[in-house]
Amino acid sequence: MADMDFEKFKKLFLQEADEQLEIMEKGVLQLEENGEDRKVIDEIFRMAHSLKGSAGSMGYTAIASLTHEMENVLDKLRTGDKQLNDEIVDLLFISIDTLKNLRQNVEKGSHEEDEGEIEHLLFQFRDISAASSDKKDSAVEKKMVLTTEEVQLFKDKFQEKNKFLICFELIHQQEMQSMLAFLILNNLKDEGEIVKTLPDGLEDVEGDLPFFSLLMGTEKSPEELGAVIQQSVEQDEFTIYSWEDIEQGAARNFFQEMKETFVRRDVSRDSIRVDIEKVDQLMKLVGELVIDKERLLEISKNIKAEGRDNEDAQALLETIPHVDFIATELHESVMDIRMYPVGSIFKRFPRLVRDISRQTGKEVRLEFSGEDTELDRTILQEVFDPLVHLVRNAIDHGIESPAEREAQGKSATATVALNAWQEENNIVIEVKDDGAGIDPEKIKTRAIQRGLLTEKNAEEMDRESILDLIMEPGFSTSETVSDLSGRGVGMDVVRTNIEKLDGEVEIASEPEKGTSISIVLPLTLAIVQALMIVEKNADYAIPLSAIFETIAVGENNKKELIKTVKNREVVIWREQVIPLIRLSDFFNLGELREEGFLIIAGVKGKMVGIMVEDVRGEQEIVIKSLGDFLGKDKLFGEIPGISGATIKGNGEVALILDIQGMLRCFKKGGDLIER
Amino acid sequence: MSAKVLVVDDASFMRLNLKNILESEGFEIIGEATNGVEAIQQYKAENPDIVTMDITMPEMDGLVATEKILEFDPNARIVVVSAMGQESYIKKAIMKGAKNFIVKPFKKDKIIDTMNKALQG
Repeated sequence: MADMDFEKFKKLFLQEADEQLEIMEKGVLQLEENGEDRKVIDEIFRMAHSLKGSAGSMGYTAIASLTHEMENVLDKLRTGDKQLNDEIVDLLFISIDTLKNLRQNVEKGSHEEDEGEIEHLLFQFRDISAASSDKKDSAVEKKMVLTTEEVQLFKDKFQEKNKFLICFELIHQQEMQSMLAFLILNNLKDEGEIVKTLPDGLEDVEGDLPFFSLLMGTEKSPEELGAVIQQSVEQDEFTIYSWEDIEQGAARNFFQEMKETFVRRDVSRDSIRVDIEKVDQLMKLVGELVIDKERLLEISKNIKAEGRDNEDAQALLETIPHVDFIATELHESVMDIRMYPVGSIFKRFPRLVRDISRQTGKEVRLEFSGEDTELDRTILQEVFDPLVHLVRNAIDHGIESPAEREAQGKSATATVALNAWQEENNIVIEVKDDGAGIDPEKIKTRAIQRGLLTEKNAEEMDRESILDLIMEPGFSTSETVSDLSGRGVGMDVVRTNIEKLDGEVEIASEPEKGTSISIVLPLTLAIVQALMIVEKNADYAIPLSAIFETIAVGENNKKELIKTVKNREVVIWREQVIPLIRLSDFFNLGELREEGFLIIAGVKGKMVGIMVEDVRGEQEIVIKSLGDFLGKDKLFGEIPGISGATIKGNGEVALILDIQGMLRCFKKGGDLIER
Repeated sequence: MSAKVLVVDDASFMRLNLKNILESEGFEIIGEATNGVEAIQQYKAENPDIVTMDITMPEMDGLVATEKILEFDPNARIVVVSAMGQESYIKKAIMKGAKNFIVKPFKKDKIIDTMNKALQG
């Protein structure tokens, strides 16, 4: 469009948009007051529809996308597929407001529209639209199969007439392919009789349809049919095979290619939508099943031990391993259903990064990698806020101003990368920037000022432990407190939230080069392998992932293993000196015991020896939260060292030890903090 | 000879847009209608070679108008103009006898191509 024309169009567009928005707003107000009204919905629909059309033509994609989603929901209301509710009304209001803003942007000429601006709205609409949608994806057959009878019938029926197989490959038309197929089919119906289509039921297929074919008997010549088809598609998009051609296998290549295309497509497309609550319910049931399975395993141990040898006992012993196997497989399958790509939350960052960099006057480019990495949906939801915080911190505190960067010989535009990958049984999500990095000396000084650390302790600490100090409550090295990242309470909260998920936060940083903060998360929650231990008649579980070794401690080895250094008990393990916790002492259970088992456990290279009375063995445990009773402001307050509870095979409860939490009860330097 | 076109759409923006595109390729716009009722009146009065027909319009929508026009003139060439996501309406229009369809937002080449294809029939 020429400039003059464009201005003319723009003016007209704005004028109409005003009217359309006004009518839409009035309509939604009416809906809010009087409830569902078909006429009003139709009116809003029409306005959204018109606005979408003109915005699309003008290239205002944000407006077009938003109105498109509005239209989808409104259409669902029209057809009765959806009932009007407050959520929809609110969403419509917000959308109209957003559209008004977008319209203002267009008028100001800053029609630099960002999809991110409206992305959250689009998602909400899509959620609503998808919720009760039960339209089936086209089931597509992979080749055209004619039975011998069908061939005979076909031949008999059209003896003297022409028999054609017409194969289509839509190479020029990318949009609305199924609609073109429908159009062609409809036009050819007047030219003869279509006896079979591929895919079957061609007229009801929706969406992409690059390949299709049909078999027909007709009085017409191939040329006449070709002319009809060319009213819809190009000459090189279809081939007409005669019956003789078919019998000689001329169409084989077409079917081969078509098959490959569909096989590729099916991999990604055969899916159904399931309410997440149903999956969670299934997960809960599987959890219960795992508990029962453990109980069965225990019963089978008892039967074996007692040598009960009747038929039923034998049958039970044979069945239990199978139940064990099935329960484990079932657990894995359900976990798999709950997996979600990390990219689904990465998508929400471009907008955020843009806003923060504008507010802070910094230039930031956002990069992603590993968006396809999958993570349990629950974990993924919990991890979003901590990630937001990390990204904010990176831009607000980490990245220098463009001028500073240039002075240092860096490019003015900084890079923040969100990376995800799988590492054994963990998923790592990293927020990495190429900003100023963290200066360990500054942190030391600040930590000493804040009384988090004595100067002497600071001397002894390694670089990593110093960096970890920024996650201590109340720590902040930023000279100015900004609106964005607050007062450094953030990193503490980040760590707490991630640890709640049984994850870890790792910090690596180099001054002037940048900072990398990684969130290391377990692949799945809820069911883990654990070592069951006993102390003072109670059972505890320690996640196996944290355990390095279990050593029986008796007269013969206790003097070598356990020493007292500076009035502190320590364990000498593989030439390392690590702190010792006696579980009775830690939980104030009374008298200490000299002999028993020493569990060497550790997280992130920090080790601890835990002295316990007895070890029962390994077991799969289902983690149950104690959320309602334990923790800040809860009934029993915070109890360090316990992360949850599980139900044992015999129905009793065992507490799950939180090794990280226990480690944190040591001051830097090794003394146990008074609790 | 240039084909005579009746443009039917309730949005004047859309009509202007279509008109510009079609005129630049030598089509002659002989009328514009803003709803189905007007479309039928103008079809009868002007006898165009081809009609571009929006579907969602006030008073009488494009589906009904298509049906009525084809009742009046079984050889009428009607191209429905509709948006992505409105497949079911397009299908209905095709079943009623529309010659082809255009999807909004549209590209100039695509419109011209579609119009020419429809004029062949």
